Amino acid sequence: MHPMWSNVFNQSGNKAEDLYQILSRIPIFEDLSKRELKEFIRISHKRTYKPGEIIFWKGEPGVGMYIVQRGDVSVFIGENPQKPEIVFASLSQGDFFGELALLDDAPRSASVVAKETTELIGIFRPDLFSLFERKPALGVKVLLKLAQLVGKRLKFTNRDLEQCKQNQDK
Amino acid sequence: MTAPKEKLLSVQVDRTELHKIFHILILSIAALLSIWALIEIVVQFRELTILFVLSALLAYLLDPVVMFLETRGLSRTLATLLIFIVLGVLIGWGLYVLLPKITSQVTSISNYLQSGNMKNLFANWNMILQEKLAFLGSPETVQNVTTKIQSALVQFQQGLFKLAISLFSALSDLAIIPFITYFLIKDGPAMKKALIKAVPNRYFEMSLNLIHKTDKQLGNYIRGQMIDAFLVGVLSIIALFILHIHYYFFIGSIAGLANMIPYFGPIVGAVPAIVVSLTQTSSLTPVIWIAVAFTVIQLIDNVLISPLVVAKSVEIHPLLVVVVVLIGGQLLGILGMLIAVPTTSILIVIVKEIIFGFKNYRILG
Repeated sequence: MHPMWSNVFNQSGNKAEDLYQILSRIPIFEDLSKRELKEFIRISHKRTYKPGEIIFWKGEPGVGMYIVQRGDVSVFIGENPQKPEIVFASLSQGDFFGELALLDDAPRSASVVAKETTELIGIFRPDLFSLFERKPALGVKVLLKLAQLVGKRLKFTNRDLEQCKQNQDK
Repeated sequence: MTAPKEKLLSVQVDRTELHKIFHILILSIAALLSIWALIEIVVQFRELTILFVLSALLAYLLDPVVMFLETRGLSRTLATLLIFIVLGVLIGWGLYVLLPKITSQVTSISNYLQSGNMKNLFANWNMILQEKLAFLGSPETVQNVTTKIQSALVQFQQGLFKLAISLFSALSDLAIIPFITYFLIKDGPAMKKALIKAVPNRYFEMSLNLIHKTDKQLGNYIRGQMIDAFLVGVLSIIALFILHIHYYFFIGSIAGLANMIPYFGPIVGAVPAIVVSLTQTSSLTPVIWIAVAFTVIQLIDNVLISPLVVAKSVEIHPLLVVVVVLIGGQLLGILGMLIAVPTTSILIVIVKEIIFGFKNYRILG
């Protein structure tokens, strides 16, 4: 094969491989086979954000989750991303956010901004539900994982709440 | 020191408001220009638009079948291919069986209208009316009534034949429609993805919602209407067959198709049956029976079929329905009348979603 073509094929192959690896590290997708992951890659949307560009604002209706493929994002509360009131987290390659929007269209609980040029993979509720209609078994696997994740977070929140209450009592 | 600060703040607020108004103005102009351009394209490329609309209708109708096959483990490409093979066989068989029947019925109507029977029939009617309507006084008045009926019927016959010819010319496009439909079904999701890719980040989530909702609305409406038309068509064929009306199959099929046009459809569907019945017997009794049969079918449709099969679409005011159906007819003829209501309901969904988007997403900064 001509080096130019092999280069082209390698690049696309690497990118797909890269995407498989990133997706398989996300707790919701970790038990899925490569074939099943391919279904999610098919419904995913790749978006590129400039430094300082808002991905979504707190209070906007949630449509889906994002996975950081390259770059960094900051999850914050406040009107000015340059001077946020609270910074909840800084997320980089392989991290994900907004996964609760896969369940309903409740408003986003925080705003997210790209700190540098960032590539995100978006997976959205309408596409996901359509995929689950076609592949119900896959739907059960993913929704179970999502329920476990929500349950785990609830436990953490309860623990934090208990700790806060104990601190207040003291 | 506080006063200048407040003044500065108010100037800043005013500027933000002004910026928002300017943004809305630009977007509104862009939306109006897009609608105008779309209408221009539809009118300029009328034939091509009709082909695409028919293919899209077919694609929406077949999509649930493709989805069902996908749940059975088939890939989208294989599922689409399988459906087309089955459909090809069915259409081929249908044409082999039904086309000669429809052709013979249309030829028979044509021969009948060209024969002297029609002239004799009008002469008979004239005599009957002269007798029955003698109380009107002068024979000229009666003559006037019959002439008007005659010219209305001639106009109707011409319309009926234009419809038949357009249906047959549509058949000649059969070779192109499945080709477009195949790619719309197979690559539909990829096309949607490519469309979303072109949307700027700020409008991305809003556009996703918009495309999803319009797609769902359109799909449900089209599938519901098609099933409704099929059932009304079958009922009409049965009713006309029982009433011994000639060309019952052709007229019943037209009644089913016409039923998709709100308000005008049922009348368009009943008139051919009445005309044929009048030319057949020159008695008013079958006409009454046809009217009763079509009323009962409409009742069954409105009470039973429509609520069950036609998904709840956006509420549109009846006056607006009449206006858009007439505009559709002006732009694209019968097809325009058929697609007027779904197009309007889609536009309403789009406007509602855009308003929702402006209220809930920080699009204007």
